[in-house]
Amino acid sequence: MKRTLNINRKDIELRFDPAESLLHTLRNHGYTEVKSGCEEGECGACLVLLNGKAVNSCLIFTSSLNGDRILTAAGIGTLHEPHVIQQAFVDCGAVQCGFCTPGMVIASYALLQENPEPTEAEVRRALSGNLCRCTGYVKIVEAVLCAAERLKSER
Amino acid sequence: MTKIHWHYPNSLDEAVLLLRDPRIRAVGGGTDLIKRPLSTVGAFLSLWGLNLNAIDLRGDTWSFGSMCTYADVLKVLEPEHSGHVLYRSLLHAANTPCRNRITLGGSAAFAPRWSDLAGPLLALEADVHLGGDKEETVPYARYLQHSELRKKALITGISFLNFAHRAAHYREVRTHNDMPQFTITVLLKMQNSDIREARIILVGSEARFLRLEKLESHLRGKRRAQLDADALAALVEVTFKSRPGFDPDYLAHKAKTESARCVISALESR
Repeated sequence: MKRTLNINRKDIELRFDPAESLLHTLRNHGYTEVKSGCEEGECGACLVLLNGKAVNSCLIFTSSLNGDRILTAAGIGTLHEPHVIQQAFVDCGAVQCGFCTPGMVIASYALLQENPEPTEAEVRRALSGNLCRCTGYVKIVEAVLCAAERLKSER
Repeated sequence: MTKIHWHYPNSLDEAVLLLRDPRIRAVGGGTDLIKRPLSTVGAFLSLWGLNLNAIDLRGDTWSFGSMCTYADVLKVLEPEHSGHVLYRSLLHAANTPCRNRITLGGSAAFAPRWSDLAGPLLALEADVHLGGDKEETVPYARYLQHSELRKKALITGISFLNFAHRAAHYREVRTHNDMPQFTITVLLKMQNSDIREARIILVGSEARFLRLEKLESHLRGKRRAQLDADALAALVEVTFKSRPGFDPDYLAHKAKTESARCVISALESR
């Protein structure tokens, strides 16, 4: 099948199997920042923003989309121009092996778009679909709260 | 390449016509489908073009289109209706990205053992609106009991009366991301400090959808000071089938204890 999706603000034509998940379509087209973890909606490693909402790309058939907007962690910021959230993850030591980080960044981005001044409980709830096997979450939660503070001072 | 065809109907009539073919599966959120073997599926039918996502509180009735996601429901109920039984149950269902995708219609139709939606819908005595050969509105309890209703029609919406109540929802999980072994939903209609009516639903037992009628009738006319948790637990009659990793006697004991706690929690809620 062929379909055009807007990925990281660019219209991209994708070719994929009719039963393929968005996760595999994205990875097959080079978006390897979208990680393949559990592939059943538990770990959040494959999180992307679909039309502004955080979703598990492993649970979505690419065929069910057309013209939709996808944002991956690489579309939020780059190595040389990281987004405030990505920089906060680095500064707070919220990255260890880094496998969960793109999903965590997407979940945090979605939260801060909707709720710029979240409480710790709200951060933990927003990250409830993201598993990290290294950090124990404390540094990650700190990073999201730090990013919220920095974004607030930028406004 | 998988030989699967996709249909993208633009009208409900078209969708219903296509769904007469038993090999065609409707896809809403799709979260229950993607990991299943696709060998029996001839084609998928996407419901996203049907505009079934309206939410409306008109007069004394809440109406939700079947394509509303859990996140849509939470957003509309928050913060004014945050004591609502549906809010309390969906707030902790699945996880944030899944709540952005799971639809009311798909969840109500699939109604798995671990459902966080079936309990509140049964407690609210909700109706489901079916599009099919003949448009029909049926109580959700009847929909769950009659498999032929599920086969021949598509849920287009869900509605229930808007009334004041106190509520609690319990999920038996090991970690918050777990699919519950069972859920308990308590809805209490109050008259001052007295319970006027209690609706208590246990989902996931051997009976799958169980209304705890003995406990409900005991609670009628009572107030908090008259209730003893052990006595409430003794009124719960429930059995579980054996499951890998779970002892049925343990689950039954836990369900009794948590039913009593849930009643107390609902009474003390606002």
